[in-house]
Amino acid sequence: MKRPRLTRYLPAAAGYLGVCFMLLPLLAVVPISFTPKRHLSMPDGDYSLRHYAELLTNQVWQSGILTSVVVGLIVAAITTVIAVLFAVGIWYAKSRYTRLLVGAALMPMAVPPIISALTLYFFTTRASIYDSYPGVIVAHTVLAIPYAVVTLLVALSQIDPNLERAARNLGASLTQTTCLVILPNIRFGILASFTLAFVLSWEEISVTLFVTSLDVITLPRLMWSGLRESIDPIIAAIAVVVIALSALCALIGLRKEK
Amino acid sequence: MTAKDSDLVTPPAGPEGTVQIEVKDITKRFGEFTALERVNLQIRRGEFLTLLGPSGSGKSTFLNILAGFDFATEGQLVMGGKDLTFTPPEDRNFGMVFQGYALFPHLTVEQNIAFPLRVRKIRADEQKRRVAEVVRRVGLEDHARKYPRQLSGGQQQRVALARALIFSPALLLLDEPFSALDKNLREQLQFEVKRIHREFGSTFVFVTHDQSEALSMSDRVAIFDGGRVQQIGTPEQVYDAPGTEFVAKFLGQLNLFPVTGQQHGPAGVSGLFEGNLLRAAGGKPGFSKIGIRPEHATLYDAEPPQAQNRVAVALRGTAYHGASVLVDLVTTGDQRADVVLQMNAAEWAARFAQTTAPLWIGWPPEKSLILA
Repeated sequence: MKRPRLTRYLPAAAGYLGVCFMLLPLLAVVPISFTPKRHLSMPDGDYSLRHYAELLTNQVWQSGILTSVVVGLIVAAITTVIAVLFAVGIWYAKSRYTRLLVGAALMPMAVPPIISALTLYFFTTRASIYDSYPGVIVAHTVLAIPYAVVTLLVALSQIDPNLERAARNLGASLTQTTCLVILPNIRFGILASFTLAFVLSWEEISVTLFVTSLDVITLPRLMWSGLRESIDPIIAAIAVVVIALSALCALIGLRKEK
Repeated sequence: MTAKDSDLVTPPAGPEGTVQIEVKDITKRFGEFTALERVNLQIRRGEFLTLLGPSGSGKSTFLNILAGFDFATEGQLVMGGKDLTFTPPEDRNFGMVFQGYALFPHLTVEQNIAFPLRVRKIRADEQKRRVAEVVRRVGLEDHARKYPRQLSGGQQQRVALARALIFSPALLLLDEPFSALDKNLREQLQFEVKRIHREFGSTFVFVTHDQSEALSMSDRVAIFDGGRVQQIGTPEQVYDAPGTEFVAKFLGQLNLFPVTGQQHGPAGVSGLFEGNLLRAAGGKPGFSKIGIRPEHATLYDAEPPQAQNRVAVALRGTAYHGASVLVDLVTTGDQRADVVLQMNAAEWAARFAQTTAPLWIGWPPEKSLILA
């Protein structure tokens, strides 16, 4: 009589603990971003918005953010298109080679970042796109595709396979079936892979260090060099803005799904 | 690829009952496995044809070939003189109601029903008019703006039917549409499908593994087993004159008596079972069994009259079913054949429940089934 009550809350409690474990460290940067000092530190009584002000005025940081946004959006768009073509294609084909093809598409996920970085370094120099926008975009896209493919395969696995037959039976051509039935039913998967690809590109550092040097400075790259020279609390301010934006996106997303 | 307005007005013209689709020697192999072997049948205009069979009998494979989701290895489908065998599904102009309905979850009821018109590029005001009419005919006026997940099972079925009928398909295919429903709802929806069949006048091809559904709804039933059509006929024909033991047993309970000393006469055939002469009307060369349906035999507590087929039995048990009782019996001779009999529950209680007299079953010879 007493025992089941306690155990009933156990799974939920474990879930919330997990969430705290993942989210609490993020919150630690919030006070740091309000420090009045010029180095990374917890504010002791005094709070200041100087690092946020600098974020708005400093040209270097602004161009870093702009570069990352541009690269991220292009990477997200290309990745999503390629991943949708691949995932929808194998979903239709129902080939006996499906597992093999999916395995091949997911392979880059299993490669250690340093190996990817070296490979892409050699590739970009050979292709003469080293330290250029195309180079970074290609590199990030290669890294992001497997994640987008997984997201879309999950989305496709949730739809009733009879939907395709129903559409065809009701007179829809393959193109109409794809555009009017299949894509609308995986729209959240498409949105998720776009977001995921953007985020992966936005925070990518290891490969970026290898394929860029002076001309293309993404935000993580700027933070990296900033961290090495002086530990500037503006990084904390950027982190807070990014977290706030992500949280906002997530909230809007959750609202919509209801 | 898109059909023009003109091809979707009505199915190829012709009076009801004439042949609409000719199925010629359709065979389907998956590697070594033969799923369908030389299926021949005619689908008649306006009829309600049921494909009945256990799972793995080939009925679903045949439906997929009819719909165009799969193609035959050999054979031909012909409609109105046109070869349909390899026509893709979207060009066949057949409607289909799927198991689980396969309604488009991202579209409202109205949008689901309008889908076939939308992909045929019908003008928007025409779409609106026809959707409104069909929505009214199937009684979904109050739910037109809802999404499929907000509807009950019965309402979803109506949407599926409306969506499959709005483009006046040449044929409506129904793939076990009731299999996921509970018994009461199922019966109610069976009546509704029958009503819609009468009202719309289209040809319906219905697939099921449920024999009572097949018998109660169809104009004709085709019984599938092992990839072949075992028999095709009206429900009465296949139930009362089954061609094979499989058909007889699949359509309902059956008591079978193996006979010896078979004789063929002008009035019918006869044979001996445990020393009793069993007779049957009609004839069939090489028969070896005579059968009787449980509801056609009568239980006696004394020897039945001479005109009846008679077998002495002993009681093993009963199963109460409300209005009727199933009586479990066994023959008393050397064959010890199982016999099941269905009778009125009140009569059972009054005449037989307490009796210790020797029991017999008897039935008129014309009710006998003759089987190989």
